[in-house]
Amino acid sequence: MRPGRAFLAALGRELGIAWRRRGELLQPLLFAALICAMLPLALGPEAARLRPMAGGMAWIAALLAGLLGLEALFRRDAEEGVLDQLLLAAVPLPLLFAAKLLAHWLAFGLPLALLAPLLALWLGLPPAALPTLLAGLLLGTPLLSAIGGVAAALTVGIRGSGILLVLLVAPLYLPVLIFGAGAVEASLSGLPARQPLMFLAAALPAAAVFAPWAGAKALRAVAT
Amino acid sequence: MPVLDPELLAAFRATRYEAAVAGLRFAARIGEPPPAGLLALTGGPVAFLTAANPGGRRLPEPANRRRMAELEAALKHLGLAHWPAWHRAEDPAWDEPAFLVRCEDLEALDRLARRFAQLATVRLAPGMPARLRCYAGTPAAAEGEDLELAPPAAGEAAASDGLRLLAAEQLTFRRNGEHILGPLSLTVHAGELWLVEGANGSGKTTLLRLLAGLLEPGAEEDAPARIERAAPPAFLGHQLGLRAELSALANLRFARALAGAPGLAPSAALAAVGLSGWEERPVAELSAGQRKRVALARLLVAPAPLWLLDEPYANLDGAGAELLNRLLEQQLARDGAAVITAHGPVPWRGPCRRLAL
Repeated sequence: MRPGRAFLAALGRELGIAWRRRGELLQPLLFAALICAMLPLALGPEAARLRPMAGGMAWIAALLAGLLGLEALFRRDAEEGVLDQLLLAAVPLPLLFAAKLLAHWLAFGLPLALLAPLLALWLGLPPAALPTLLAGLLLGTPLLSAIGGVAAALTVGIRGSGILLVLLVAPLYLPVLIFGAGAVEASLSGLPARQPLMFLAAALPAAAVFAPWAGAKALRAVAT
Repeated sequence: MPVLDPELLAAFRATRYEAAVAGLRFAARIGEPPPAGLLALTGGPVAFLTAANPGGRRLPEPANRRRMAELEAALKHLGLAHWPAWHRAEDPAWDEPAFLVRCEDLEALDRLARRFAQLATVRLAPGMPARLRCYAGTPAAAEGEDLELAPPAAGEAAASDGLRLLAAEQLTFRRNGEHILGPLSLTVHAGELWLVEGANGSGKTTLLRLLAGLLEPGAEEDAPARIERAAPPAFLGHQLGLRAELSALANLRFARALAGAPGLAPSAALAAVGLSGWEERPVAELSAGQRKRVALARLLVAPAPLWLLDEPYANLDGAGAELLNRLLEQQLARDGAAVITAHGPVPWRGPCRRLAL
């Protein structure tokens, strides 16, 4: 057993499964686009009204759309008995969990982080704020994947866990939303956006350490 | 079951059992009263216990030293007071290190002796001669005042002489307060096939998941459950543990990456279960029997000394059942073991031990 090899094998497997189900990968992107498309219809198409909201709306769209793929993160593995094999593997479970989180971010988080700024531009976000929004999303979406992954692990055995999962992660997502949208807000008002971005950047390594560990604990507790 | 032959028995009787307690040396012999003052210093009954030379087979020095370190760790873990001791045999080649262990609880002593595969221990208690406590069958003629037979371990009606791969004691399981299983004890030795039989809903799957460690046994207050596994077992449940989107080959490659000691190459394992030519097909496109074969191939790419197979014959055709029989025979032949469940007759014709639920 070589942990590095096992990590890569797990990552490759997850990405392989995501590729086979690539139709599902489009759903969150379409959902995010839909939210942003509805905004001008609801609030009126005046650019002056939409512009200040564009960054925040892009964040909300990315965050809500990110919830879509979460419930399936462990459900199929649990249904098909793969989870049992993961629990019995000679490889440390946190390592496999980390591979799962990384694959989930690559398949769901990263595309949303790249799409959301385009949606914001479409709503009239001044291009000057674009780098801040993109940086915030690139730092924030891995955090969303980590928080969501742990919550998905906690609810894996529960039938119809979708809404429970949303209720569980929503409060934990709020700080990410506040710092991410706050950074865009600051940059729009001509203030330095560094500080909120730094908060997100600092939370990222903490999540990288704690989420796999907590997620593995949760999986084991729920399964046994 | 190992037997203490008369020669070995004579060797035990000829041995001088020495211990160093509080800076003093004591020597005991089987059949003689305990050395004066020893039991006062130890504060209660004691026994000479070693981990060396398991089953009466002589091991090289480093192996014995390692086993002694394990025994010492076990004694510390159990909180049993112990002192250094030696078995001085007539033939100096059989001299072995030991511990003098304080033991009020004979069951704990028996468990330790069995865990370290000892044929016997020597027990000293006030008011009786030093007795050889045997964990192996003895010739009937040898019974006497200086000899006692330890009761058989729970779940071990007739102990076999194979290496113990799994020992479970007092397993119980409750779900939402409802009693599902147990209490139940089971010891699986190398080379054994256990057939767990029972009707639907009798707890076969639950038992297998408990043995695998995928469920936690419930704790009864007076007798806590205990499971010891020599190595992580391989588990094959009703859900086969294959992702339908991925090919058979990709599923097995992943299983191999997770294994502690990888076995056959995935393609070779698929050929061994008769699935050459199906390697690249997604598992979703395979029939139920073929999927089962892929799952069986996983036992070859990620070998384990103990297989826990839930209804392994289900979905298999005649040739598939033959294949499984062959795999099981190979597993037993290389000193592995398997626990399989069935709710009816199985096509296994070899010897097996049965557990009815």
